[in-house]
Amino acid sequence: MIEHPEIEELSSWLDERLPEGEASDLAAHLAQCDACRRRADGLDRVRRRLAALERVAPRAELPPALGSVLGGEGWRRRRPPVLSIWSPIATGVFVLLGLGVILLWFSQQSARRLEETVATATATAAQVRSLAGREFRLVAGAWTEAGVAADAPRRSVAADEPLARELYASVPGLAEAVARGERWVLHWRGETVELTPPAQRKGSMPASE
Amino acid sequence: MGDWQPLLEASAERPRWGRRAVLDDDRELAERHRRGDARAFEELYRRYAAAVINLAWRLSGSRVEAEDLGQEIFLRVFRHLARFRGEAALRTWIFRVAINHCRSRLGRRRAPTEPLGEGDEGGRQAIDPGPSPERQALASDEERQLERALAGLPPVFREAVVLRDVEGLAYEEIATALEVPVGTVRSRIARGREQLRRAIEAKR
Repeated sequence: MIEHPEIEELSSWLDERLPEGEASDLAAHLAQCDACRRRADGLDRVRRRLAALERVAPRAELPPALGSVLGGEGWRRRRPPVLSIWSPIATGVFVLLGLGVILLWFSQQSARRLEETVATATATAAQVRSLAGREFRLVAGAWTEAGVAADAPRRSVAADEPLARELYASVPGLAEAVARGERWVLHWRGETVELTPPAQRKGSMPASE
Repeated sequence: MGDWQPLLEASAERPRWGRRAVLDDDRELAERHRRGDARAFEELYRRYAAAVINLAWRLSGSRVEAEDLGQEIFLRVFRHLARFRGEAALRTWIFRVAINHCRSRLGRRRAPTEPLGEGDEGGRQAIDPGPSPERQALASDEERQLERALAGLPPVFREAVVLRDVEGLAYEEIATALEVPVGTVRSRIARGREQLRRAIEAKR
């Protein structure tokens, strides 16, 4: 084997980059050729010494200077979007919170309506009175007996008139109510009578029974 | 293979990059950066800073300058990482950024260095002992001689040899990083090693 290998072949052989046949031929040549073997030996020594050169130590974190420059370019301000596994969980929590708020609002509305109904009933009850088994409602400032139409013609009777005294005798409690300044409208002997309190009769007082 | 077998075994023991898991991890890192995860870039820096600064050291011949070059390189990486689409391994892509930046910076600073010969002052001037005086004091004559010889190589040979023998890249990765065919890589590595061998043996 006279032909000596090219430097590319020797170098590639050291890196195990030659096809198997060429590699074995070259190895056989080196076994016989001192010059080529010394050359390959020298190349390999270079290779090994380069690999053994001092290296810089691994870096644990960004140097401050680089960090500050990158900071100006948005590094650190860039944050991953809120996605991944937490996204459906967060969505579920928000939906539940929303449902909770809606239910709370409805329950408050219902409670308010109930309170209004009770208040209305209470107010209604306060506007109905009963005297001697006869029912009266407060209509336009006058306690009006049930069944009396709002536009029914009525006879106005002063608190101290004889007719009024007949009414006081027939309806216990009526005289005291009129004395308190209340107006009363009621049926009496086929007509509608309106009793006017004494304050509205220029200082006159209802007569006691 | 006889006497060569131990040498080849020792060569095979050198750390190799390119494991699939690492590559997948790299792509995920780039994707996280694209999504705006600030921690992704910090992780990327921790993973590749030493290799990049080391590469810059061996290409520039100056450890001090390599630190500045390293920061500039990572600034470029930060700005352009969103464009990385995973056609090559992230590590190879970062090395390409590093090589291009070093060419730009070092090319402006000085003309390409001629192969080191006897009494070559340019090669010696390019060497910076760096911030490791203790190790420098302890370093063997052979190591200093090798550093001078390396600094004296033409840049294209130096790049190929450093990527192969210092950083441990495969030929295909070097071809991607240097943007040249694999055959050119093979030739540059061989010729670079040969020039180093001659330079070292000439000093004996």
